Amino acid sequence: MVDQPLDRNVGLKAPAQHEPTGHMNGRRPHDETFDIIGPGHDLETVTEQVIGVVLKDRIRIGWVIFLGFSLALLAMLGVAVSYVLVMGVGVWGINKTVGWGFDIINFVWWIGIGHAGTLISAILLLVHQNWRTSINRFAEAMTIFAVMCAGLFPLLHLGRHQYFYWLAPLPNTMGLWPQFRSPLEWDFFAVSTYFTVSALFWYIGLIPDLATLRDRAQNRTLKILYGMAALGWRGSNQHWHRYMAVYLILAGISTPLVLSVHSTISFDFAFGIVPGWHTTIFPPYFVAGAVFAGFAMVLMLAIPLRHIYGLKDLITMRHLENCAKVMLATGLMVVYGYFMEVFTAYYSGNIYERYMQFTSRMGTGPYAWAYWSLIFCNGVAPQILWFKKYRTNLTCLFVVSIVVSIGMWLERFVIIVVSLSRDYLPSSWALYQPTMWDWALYVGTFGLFLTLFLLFVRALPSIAVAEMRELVHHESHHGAHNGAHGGHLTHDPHGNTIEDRDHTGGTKEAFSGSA
Amino acid sequence: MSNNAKPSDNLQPANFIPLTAVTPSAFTHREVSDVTPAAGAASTVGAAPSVDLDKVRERLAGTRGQEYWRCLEELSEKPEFTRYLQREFPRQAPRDMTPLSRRDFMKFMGAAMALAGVGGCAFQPAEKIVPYVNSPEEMIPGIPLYFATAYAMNGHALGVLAESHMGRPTKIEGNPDHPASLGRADIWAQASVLDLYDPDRSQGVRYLGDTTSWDNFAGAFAGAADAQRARRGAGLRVLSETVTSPTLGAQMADFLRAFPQAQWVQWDPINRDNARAGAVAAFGRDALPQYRFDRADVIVSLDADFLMEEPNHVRWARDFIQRRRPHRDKVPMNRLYVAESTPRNTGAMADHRLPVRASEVQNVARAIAAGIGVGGVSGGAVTGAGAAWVKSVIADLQGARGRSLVVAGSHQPAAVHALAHAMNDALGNVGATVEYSDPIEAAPTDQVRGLQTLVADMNAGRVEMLVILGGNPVYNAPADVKFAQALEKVPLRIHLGRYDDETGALCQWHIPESHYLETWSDVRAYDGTTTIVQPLIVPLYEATRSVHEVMAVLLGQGTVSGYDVLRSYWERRLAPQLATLRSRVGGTNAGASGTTGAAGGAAASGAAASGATRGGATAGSATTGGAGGSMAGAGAATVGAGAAGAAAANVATGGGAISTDSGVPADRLTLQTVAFDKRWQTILHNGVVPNTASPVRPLRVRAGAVAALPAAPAATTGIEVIFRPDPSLWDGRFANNGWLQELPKPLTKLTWDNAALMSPITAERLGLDNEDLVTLSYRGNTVSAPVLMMPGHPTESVTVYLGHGRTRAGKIGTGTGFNAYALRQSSTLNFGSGLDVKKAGGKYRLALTAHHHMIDLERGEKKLDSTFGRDLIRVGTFDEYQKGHLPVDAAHDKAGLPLYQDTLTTVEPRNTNSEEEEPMHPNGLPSVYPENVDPPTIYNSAENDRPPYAWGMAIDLNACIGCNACVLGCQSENNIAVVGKEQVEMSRELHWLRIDTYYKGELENPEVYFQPVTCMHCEKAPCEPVCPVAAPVHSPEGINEQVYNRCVGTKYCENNCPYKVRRFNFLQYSDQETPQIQLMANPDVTVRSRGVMEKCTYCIQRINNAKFQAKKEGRHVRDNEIVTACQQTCPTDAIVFGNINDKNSNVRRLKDSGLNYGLLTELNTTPRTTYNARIRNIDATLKNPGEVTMSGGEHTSDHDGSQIDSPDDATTGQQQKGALEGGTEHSEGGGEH
Repeated sequence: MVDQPLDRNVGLKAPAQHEPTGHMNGRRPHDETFDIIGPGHDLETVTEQVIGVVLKDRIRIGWVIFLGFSLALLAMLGVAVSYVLVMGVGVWGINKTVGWGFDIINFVWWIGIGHAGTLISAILLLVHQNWRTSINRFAEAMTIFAVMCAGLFPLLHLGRHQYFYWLAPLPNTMGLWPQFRSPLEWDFFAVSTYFTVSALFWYIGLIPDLATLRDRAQNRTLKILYGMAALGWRGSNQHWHRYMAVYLILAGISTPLVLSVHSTISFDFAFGIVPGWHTTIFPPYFVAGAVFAGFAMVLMLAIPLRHIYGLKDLITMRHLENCAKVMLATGLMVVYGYFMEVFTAYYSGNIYERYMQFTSRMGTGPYAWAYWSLIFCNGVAPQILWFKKYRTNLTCLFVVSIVVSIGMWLERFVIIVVSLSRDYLPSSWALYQPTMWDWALYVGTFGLFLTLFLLFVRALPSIAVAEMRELVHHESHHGAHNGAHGGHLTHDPHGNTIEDRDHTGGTKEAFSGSA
Repeated sequence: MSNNAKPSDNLQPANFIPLTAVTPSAFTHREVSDVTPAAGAASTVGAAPSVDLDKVRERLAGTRGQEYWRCLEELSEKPEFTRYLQREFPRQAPRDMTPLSRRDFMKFMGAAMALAGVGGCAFQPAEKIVPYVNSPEEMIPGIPLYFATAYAMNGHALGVLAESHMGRPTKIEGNPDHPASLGRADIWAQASVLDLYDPDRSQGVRYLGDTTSWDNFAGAFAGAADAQRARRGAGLRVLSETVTSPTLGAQMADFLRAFPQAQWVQWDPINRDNARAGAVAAFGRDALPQYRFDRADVIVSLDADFLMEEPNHVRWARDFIQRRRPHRDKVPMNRLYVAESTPRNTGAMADHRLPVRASEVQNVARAIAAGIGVGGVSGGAVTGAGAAWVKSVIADLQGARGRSLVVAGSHQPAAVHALAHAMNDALGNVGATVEYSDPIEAAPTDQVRGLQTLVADMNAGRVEMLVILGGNPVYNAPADVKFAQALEKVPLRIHLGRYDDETGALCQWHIPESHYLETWSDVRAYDGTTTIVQPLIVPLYEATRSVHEVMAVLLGQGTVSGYDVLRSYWERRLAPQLATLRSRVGGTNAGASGTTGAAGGAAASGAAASGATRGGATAGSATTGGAGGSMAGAGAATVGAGAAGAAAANVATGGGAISTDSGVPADRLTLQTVAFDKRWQTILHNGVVPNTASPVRPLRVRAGAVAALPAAPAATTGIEVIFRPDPSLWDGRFANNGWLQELPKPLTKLTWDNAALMSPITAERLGLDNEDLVTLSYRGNTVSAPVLMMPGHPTESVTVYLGHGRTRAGKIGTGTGFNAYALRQSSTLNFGSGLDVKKAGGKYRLALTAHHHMIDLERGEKKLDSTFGRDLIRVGTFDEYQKGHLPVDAAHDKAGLPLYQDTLTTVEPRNTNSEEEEPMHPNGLPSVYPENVDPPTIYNSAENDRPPYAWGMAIDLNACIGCNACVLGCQSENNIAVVGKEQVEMSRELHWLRIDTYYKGELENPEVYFQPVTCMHCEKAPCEPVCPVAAPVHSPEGINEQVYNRCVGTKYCENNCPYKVRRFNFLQYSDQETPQIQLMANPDVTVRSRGVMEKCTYCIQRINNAKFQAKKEGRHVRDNEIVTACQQTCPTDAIVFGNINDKNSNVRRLKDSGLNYGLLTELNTTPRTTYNARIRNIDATLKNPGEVTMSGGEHTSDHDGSQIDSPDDATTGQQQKGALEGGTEHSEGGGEH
């Protein structure tokens, strides 16, 4: 199969000899579109543009520098992990009162970030949101890398790392099973399942693109590598049929995971009796928070990505705006959660809960700054996204995304550290102060994430080519993307109509920066 | 360096384990030296014939000018000069004069390789495991033995039982037969076992920085003593700590006889100079007040912390608390008034506490004395809040004549003591609540004056030889005495001490002192009762000697074992007829020394001697063998193993003397010896010498004594400084004891440091905050100290604890805190005014184990409630209690407690044939545990399918004095590691048991409550379901067990524990490398390592031992058969453990009390550990300004009508059931009674 490098999978429509609209050529850099795909694209240009990033683009110096930086952070992660393994978790700032610190905060935070990828690729697929197409691939990659970063922490946070596998239900001579009542045990299953399914889903989705890469690669080594990865994909009807079925099934499996994984993680706290943890609102509130943080991360990745690799036609303003809207919506859900925490604490009349909410978090507690920063980051800052002007301003979006990411990190800090630091017996109250190893580990995971992401961008198509071609096909059939009329209708392959916002060409021009 | 004092030998503990034989390590050394080329060359050089130096000089002399140099070169070529050089500078000698041949090179290389291999092997001492040929009596591997001995601090003995595992003392517990202990121990006695194994202990005799041997010292010492003897000891001084040992007292008398011009000075930085002077002022003679707190209804403490600091505090705490158990003992509750400077435990227990500056206590004392009609009192006007307090005290004292007690603190001046004596006398308390006896010291002196005289002599050059027997005067002498400078003027300085400390560093000779657990001695308790201190182990380091052995050398008796000195003294004292008999044999001392002189290691032989004597006295042991039958095996267990020891024993006992020196028929002498031995065995076994308590002296305060007291000092101005012994480190002697360093000091919860303690009000005035560094200047001396605000501290007053700031304490104690002795003056030994406090700038981090009571001045709070409004401590008043108003709301609080099944009465085992009714609780719900174990297994036979035990604990807050003894008992029993200051700063201390302290009320004078908190063993433990690997599990008997080797360290259990009693090994805390520390570990408890969660187990090892025993004897475990380590040591019996299913058990009785409540029961954890509310016997007419409404009042008002009417009777379960129903069913509650 590998030695039959026929470009079969683009056989939906023979690639016409087209004017070279390949990447970075045909369009000015600041042209923005609110369509889900820029004008003038056909199957070939889409393929060229995406595949070109992998196969034709030169190794840019900026990429190398950034990769070097990421590798440096990764090395720091290596040092931080080794040090913890050698010395024990006592190198961190945790103590007898606050038993979880950065380790679990970062775990929850990274896992939360991962959720957006799954939401985009699975849920939006199932509900036929075809605008997801150009962002799902890298969002899924983001999910996998984020889960990898997240998965590091539960392993490292163990006092005796070497026995992490005791959490797995392995047969052993003592006939001893894990304790299935423990939310940590549920975590173990939830996260491992999540990682497995996400990786599978991502890989299945990649297969047709890998075949394209195989077919287009000039280098024999690459051909072989991509060929092996493509698992002999020939683009036959049968392949497509089965591919679609599997993809849909995996999407179906992934969908509940979006809700269940973070719910399960929220049980780590909701299950506990610590004031500030023991609440029923956590599962939905955590899921909303995860999506919130995840979309912030998607934006933080998409905005530079489309800029650097000239993918503005494919990741259009429409995508970014949609992401912003999701952020706004989930942000409001999260704020509702905060409000309910306050209300429940008040209404319960429980002095411990009241003290936690009104004194430790909002009042004179030593970490009140964290709570109010979190309220600003997650509650106040995203409200700017109500305004289209700011919603479609890339700088603004990027900044809000960063603020939201920080806010979501602070939220976990407030939940974990602030709650633990002042629980029932005042005699045991203690403060938590992260050490340099806490920070090194945290920052180090950025190294892991960024390294993987940078390699991914160069080695694999960061936009799902096959799906884009399908999209182009549909778009060209309906021919509704010339921007002449205002609110336009987008049809997905099944004929469902998605009404997008009403906007005028004038606005578009204002934002695209060109007449 | 002499051969027998190689460092490697010193590091090597002597034969501590009877099964171990240590191969001499010299063997390998010899092998090496024979082969090494360098050594070979050196030996040839050493063997070179001596150079005729004169010849060389001659030649040199004949040369001049430049020729000289040429000639020197020529000279150097001459073979004899070369050899001379090589001999003088062997390191400069060429390795080999001839060039190496290839073959030789190869040979050397080969040898070097081989040797490198040898060197790489860490030679473990060969351990031969051989069975006993003659098994030591009573020793069963795995079963500990207990030996009675005594621990002394400042000369005051506390009788203890030392637990010994296969010859290793592992834990110290009180001796129930000892009057100062009554089976309980304080923190210092318990921590003393760690001192034994301290690797920083001095291990070899040192002379001018070089290690030398005891024999060298003994020779030099005897020579110097002889020189002094010729001068009648005019230049000889001995400086010791307070001497209460009768044997040492006899040696002191011998010494003063032998050296009539010499002087023996005693110095303890915490001494009873004031008390002594006070007694002299009152009675005209020295006397010790023997307080009977159990007989007093009204107690007034004049700055006396008699619960923790004063001598005899263990006994006094026990006596005091006997009268504070309204629910248990049907005696009226006492009332405690405390006028206190530094807030201490006694003040925390007070019903009415008056914070006064230390200098004003005398004023208060005078006011009270005047009020109760002591004649001749002048001064004493107390104004402000104190006036009401004094008025109330006077009224109460007058209402309790003969049933009251006034106690003065040791650090208060003599006048306060005299006033206290006068008040007790005027109130008719003498003979009722206080009796007087002779002081227990061998030679009571004014220690400050003694020290000053000594220093004056030293400065004047009158002291040629100073023998310092223990103590650390260079560190702890008052600053103005300038002891260190004076010491350097003494030509010969000899220091005997367990550590080569600050004093040792300034002495030419340093002799390591044996620990009390490895030596023979005797010591007296506060009431005079004498205890023989017997060793449990051969000295870990063979160079160590006891004070008696050093004194014997000084007295010209040569190297005598301490055992012989002691025994001969007691033979003389106990059996005069025997002593006369033996004197005909040839003098006890000489005879004894002659017999043992041959045996190497005098201390070893002394200890061995005890083994042998006991071996011969089985009859005695059989008759006296009580609980544990511990005595007879003592010597055998500790020493009997080594063959050398046994041989030495044979020589050392009387038998040897008989065979060698004759003159008396052997059989007659043997009979006498056996008679003495029998008595001796009994004494050793019981730990007390009978009839040695001081007799009561009928003393009356002299007429006019009070009037003759110097007038009260005028009110002082400026800030006052108070010097107090550290609540953990005492005077600094425990500075290298990690347990005590890390023990949170009562009230402040400070560890590893001392601080300038002051009132928040003073701190605010001075613009200081916690942890601010300040410069304390007092009479020209300055130290830098961190500030710690202490609620209840009198204003304009700063307390500094002594004992910190050591410079040569050891790895642990050096450099913790600041040295408060640097401020201490001999004229103001305890307090004085005129302290200058200046902000030095900068912060110093203090390691506190609890921060909730830290005051935030910025918030401007004047009231303090460190419970943050949480209902953690229930408090009621005695009046309310008598009216049946309890601070515990039965309906609310009892609902969350475990329910009892009454499956067992201790007396008869369950009748398994009778039809069993499911025992039901009044509420109708059975307890979760014990649960049915189904189906029956080999461990649970069918008729015993329900475990009869449900373990539980009750802690009586009324009895807890916050003395920390339980914390240390737990640490010692359960091998709890010390984590160090940095880890405590990070809130990672490991104590399984902590004493929470809560303040309520005004900053000036808050109420203080102690609450020991340990694992509650919740029936529905929140820690259990959250662990992913099921490390915390519940036993059928209701114990929340932590399976260490299953724990992976998620810390989830710790997070989810509302009581925060779980402790995590964040790092490798337990010392698994230091061999000495390993010896100390309790073999019954796992030593935890990194990454494992640990916590209180209710001393599961003790529970299981008791269950094994009961099983063997075919019975149930009896009540009080299991005593947890914390319970065992609690001086006040505040902690009670037992089977809550047993209606008649002590713990059940406490739990059935209407005062019993659970902590955080609203969380539905159903804790097995519960608390009994505190009852304060306050004077209704006197309301402390700081007092706020107690939480108990709120409860009682809610349930006014339904409370039980006669709580005093509510002791039986049946009645308590009624009481409970009374609480739950309002309408019927009253009808039940």
